[in-house]
Amino acid sequence: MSSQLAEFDELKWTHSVKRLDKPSSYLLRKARRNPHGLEDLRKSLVSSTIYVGNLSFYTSEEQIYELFSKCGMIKRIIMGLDRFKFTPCGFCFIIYNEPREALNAVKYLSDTKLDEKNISIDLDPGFEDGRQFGRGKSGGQVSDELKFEYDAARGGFAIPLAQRIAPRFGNGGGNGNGRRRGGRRQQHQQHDQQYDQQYDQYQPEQEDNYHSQFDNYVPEDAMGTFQSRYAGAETLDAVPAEAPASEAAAPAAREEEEDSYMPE
Amino acid sequence: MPSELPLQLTHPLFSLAESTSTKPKHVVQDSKDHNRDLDRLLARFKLYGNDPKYIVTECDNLLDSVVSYGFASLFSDIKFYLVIRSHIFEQAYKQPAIAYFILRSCNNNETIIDPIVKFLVSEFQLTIQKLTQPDIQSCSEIGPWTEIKLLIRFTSLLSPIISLQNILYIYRTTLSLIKVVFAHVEQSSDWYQNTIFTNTLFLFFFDRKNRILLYEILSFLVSVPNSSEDDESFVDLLEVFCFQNRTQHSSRFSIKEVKGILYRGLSEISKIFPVWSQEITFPATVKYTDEIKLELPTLEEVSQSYKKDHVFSTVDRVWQGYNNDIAGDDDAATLVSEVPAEECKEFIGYIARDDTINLVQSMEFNKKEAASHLFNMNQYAISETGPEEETQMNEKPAHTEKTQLLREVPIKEIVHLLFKLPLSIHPRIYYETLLLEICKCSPKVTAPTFGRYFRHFYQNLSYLDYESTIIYEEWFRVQLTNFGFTWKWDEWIGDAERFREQIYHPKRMFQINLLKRLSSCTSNTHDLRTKLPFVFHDHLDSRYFGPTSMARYLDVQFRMDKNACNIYDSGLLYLQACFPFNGDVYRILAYMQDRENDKEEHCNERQLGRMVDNIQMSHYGFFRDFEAFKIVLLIQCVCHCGKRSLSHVINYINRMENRLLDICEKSPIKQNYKEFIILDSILRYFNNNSRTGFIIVNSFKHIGFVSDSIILEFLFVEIDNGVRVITSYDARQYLLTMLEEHISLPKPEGHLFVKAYRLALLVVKQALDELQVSKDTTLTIKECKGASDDETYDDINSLNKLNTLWKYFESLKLIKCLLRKFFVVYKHLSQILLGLIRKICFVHDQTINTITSWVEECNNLN
Repeated sequence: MSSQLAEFDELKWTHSVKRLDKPSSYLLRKARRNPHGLEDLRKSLVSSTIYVGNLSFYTSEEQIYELFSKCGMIKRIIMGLDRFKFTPCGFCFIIYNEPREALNAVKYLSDTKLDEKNISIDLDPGFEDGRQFGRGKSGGQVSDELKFEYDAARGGFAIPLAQRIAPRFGNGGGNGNGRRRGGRRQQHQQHDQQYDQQYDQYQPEQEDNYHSQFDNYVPEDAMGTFQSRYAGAETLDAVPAEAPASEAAAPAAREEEEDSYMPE
Repeated sequence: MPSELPLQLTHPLFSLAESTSTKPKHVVQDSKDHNRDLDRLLARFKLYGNDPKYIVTECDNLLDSVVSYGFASLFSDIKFYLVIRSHIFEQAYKQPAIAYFILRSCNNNETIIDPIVKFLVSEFQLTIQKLTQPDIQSCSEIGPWTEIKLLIRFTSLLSPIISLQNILYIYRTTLSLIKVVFAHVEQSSDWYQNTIFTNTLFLFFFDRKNRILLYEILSFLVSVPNSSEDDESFVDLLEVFCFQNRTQHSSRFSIKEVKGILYRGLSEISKIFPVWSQEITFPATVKYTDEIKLELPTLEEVSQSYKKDHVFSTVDRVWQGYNNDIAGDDDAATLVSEVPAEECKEFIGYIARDDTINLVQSMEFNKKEAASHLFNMNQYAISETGPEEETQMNEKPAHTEKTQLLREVPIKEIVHLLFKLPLSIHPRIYYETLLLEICKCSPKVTAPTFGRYFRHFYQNLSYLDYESTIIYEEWFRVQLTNFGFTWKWDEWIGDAERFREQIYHPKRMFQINLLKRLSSCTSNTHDLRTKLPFVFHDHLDSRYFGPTSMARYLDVQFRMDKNACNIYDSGLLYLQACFPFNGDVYRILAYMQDRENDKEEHCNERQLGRMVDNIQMSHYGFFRDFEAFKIVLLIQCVCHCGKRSLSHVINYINRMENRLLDICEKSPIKQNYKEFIILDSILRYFNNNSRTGFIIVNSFKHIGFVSDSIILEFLFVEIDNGVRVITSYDARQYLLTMLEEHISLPKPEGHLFVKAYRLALLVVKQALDELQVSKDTTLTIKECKGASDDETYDDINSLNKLNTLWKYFESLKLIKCLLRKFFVVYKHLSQILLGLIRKICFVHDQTINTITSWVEECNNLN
């Protein structure tokens, strides 16, 4: 598989330092596991879409628009949502008018702060309906379920305290060595192991399709995507997808409930 | 798309590499190992020269590795040349270090002189060819002239291995090239000559005792004409600060100065080079003596591709506009100088600036690396002034001032590029985040410099250009949001209290807008509030429509006790209990939120209309103008339904589009007024967040509810005694964005630009009428500033007069900004623009002359 990605793996000598507008190591790692990985990577270089991660749950679309519109004309912002609660869960997709603008955002805005969080930006092959939902077991992002640090802006502690401290007292889980040593670093290594295990174990419903960390679980047609027309460049001929009649009707109804919610 | 130059297809070095490959046997046998070794070596080479203190040691270590790898093998590999090439262009400050490595390599193995010189010649030829390409941008990221400059610099550094005839040939050919190209485009070539031929000093970097070279170069430079003293045509429109005398541009280092250094002799020349460099010479028999031949383009070839208004790419473009200064000007004594106006005028200062610009522009694809290299460059520049002597705490080292100036060079140059007018070469956010990265490198070292720049702009806000004020606010905001809103807010308390009543005072406007926008950058406004002095707390809640305007608005619409309504509430006011029809409003909201109603749209158009009409029937006497209110209510209900996010609002706009259009079309109100009501109701709904309001206005505009013309008029309306297009930065930004959108159209509508200009003129006229100035009165910011700073006004009339004076200057700044930013359109409308000045009947000579001169300057902008 890796030989397929030779064009992305080989060392480039044409620039004295590496470019930031290249697929991240995360995307490359995913591409290696995916039969269409190379195609996706190529697409991501000419795509107008970017993925923005590590957002605060409280960051609004307006704040995202304000920052990212400095790199180009934004066609659409798709907020990442908890797939059960339909609340922002710390990521989003931004679709620009031109691929150049998306690359600019990756180059210029990576690792800057938005709403007091250092955001991470990655290229993306293109948004598909359903990718706006978190694929973690609790409905949010998987990475949030694996974190140990308290982060008020991203839902506090993700793993209940009992589960987190259980390995320390040898109650199963962890690496089975009872009290762990090595402090944070070791914890992180364990994180990675857990993460890898979870990644391997947790299969999305549609196994044939490749899904990245942030595009995994999709309740099909559960919810229409929201298209915006800030710039008016895109003709919007579709209202959000029709709510399906059966199981998925509940989320749609819930959305309606939220729409009519009145702030105090 | 990241561009990779098609070097591999065209570069003659490929054939060179194949033909001269003399790889050792064991390397050929195991090509994988060979490649791996090479990759490791080149990876080390990329780090070489990062620290000027260790150049010699690092070079020794590298040479040891090359000995085991093979000099011939390395110098015949295309990868090595690609690395050299990328460093020459992207990290120009490392050129002396690389040249040092090459010369030391040549000392070890003389056979490598041939391929290295051939590489340089082929690069020259390729770059010259780029000048004849129709689309220069696609074939050269940094621009062919910059490439030529950097290649010449590198070739000059390698003078010990190149024969004198060949060096002179390269310089003469470049001079011919400049003459050919600039004769065709009828432009001054002074900037290009100065920048390229300053490199002659680098000929002596390693070859320090070559008297013949000195004599020949001096003879050559005599043939290069000195640049004229007045070649910098001063364009007021392009100045970052307005209404002040021309700043003295000191960033130039011309051929005249180069000649001066050369005339002083070789011993003086040696002093300009860094302490680590040393003399390296080669016998004449070893030097590259084969005749170098470069093919120049013909006049015809140049004329086909090189147009008069040629768009230069990146660094080339910097040269053209590199004359606006942001530092204070002591002679003019208008600006309060917080940043050093005095440049480091020596050669070292010039090179530090030049290298900074090259690096900032060419390494745009990696801001982090660019920042770290700029930090290294500081070390370079400082090391070139000699080692810093250890001094007592209170004692000032001999060259501290020069060192300090050099330390600030990168920040100063980036700030220059950030504020470059009329257009920035890269998106401004790049420079903002690059400055951020530099600050992250070492906050303690850089923070004082940043502080000085922020204070410099703040102190001179009265002079700061209309658009530059927004740039400054954005840069400041980006910096603050990334560093936890840390600023010495107390510094501004005095200004906040002094200018509380002057709504047009630039400092007051800046404080209000900055704080308002900062508060919308965070979802934790409480944190921000705790960091601010009490006097600024009100600014966080400032609104587009103040309480007076809201009270009047309700008074015009309803027959009610306006005190019953909480006008400080944001969003949909009509849900408050004081409005007897609030139940109907809830029903309309429920109707809009129900997707079932989208299905039979035709029936529902009437249903929605009926629901609104019911309100009128039930509460007939309550409304003064129900037709207008009907539109207000529907528009605000749509906004309210989608209040969760921008996408939601836009989603509801799309869903309700036809129904709203139907009701609006049936309304008997005149179209212009109707559009005005729509605009007004959107912005009143988003009263505490006008930026979101303007985004929504844009959405309504694109589905045809409001026109640009009405938006323009709306922006110029006076609300709460303030013209919002001046007092609100959101309105300022929206005006410029809207006109920018138009200019990108294939055929921009000229009338819209004329209207914007006319409306701005009317604001100036209004201010002049209020001031009641005579024909020959001279108005200056200095007087106005002095009066307001010293609080000399003693009654309300003086205060009003002062406020109107600020209004006058700010509206003039707006005109200047319009003419500069949209000169592409305005330059074709100069007669209309001049005619409008007469038509509006200005009687004030100073105003007429100022605007007329700007219109004339606008005609000459390219």
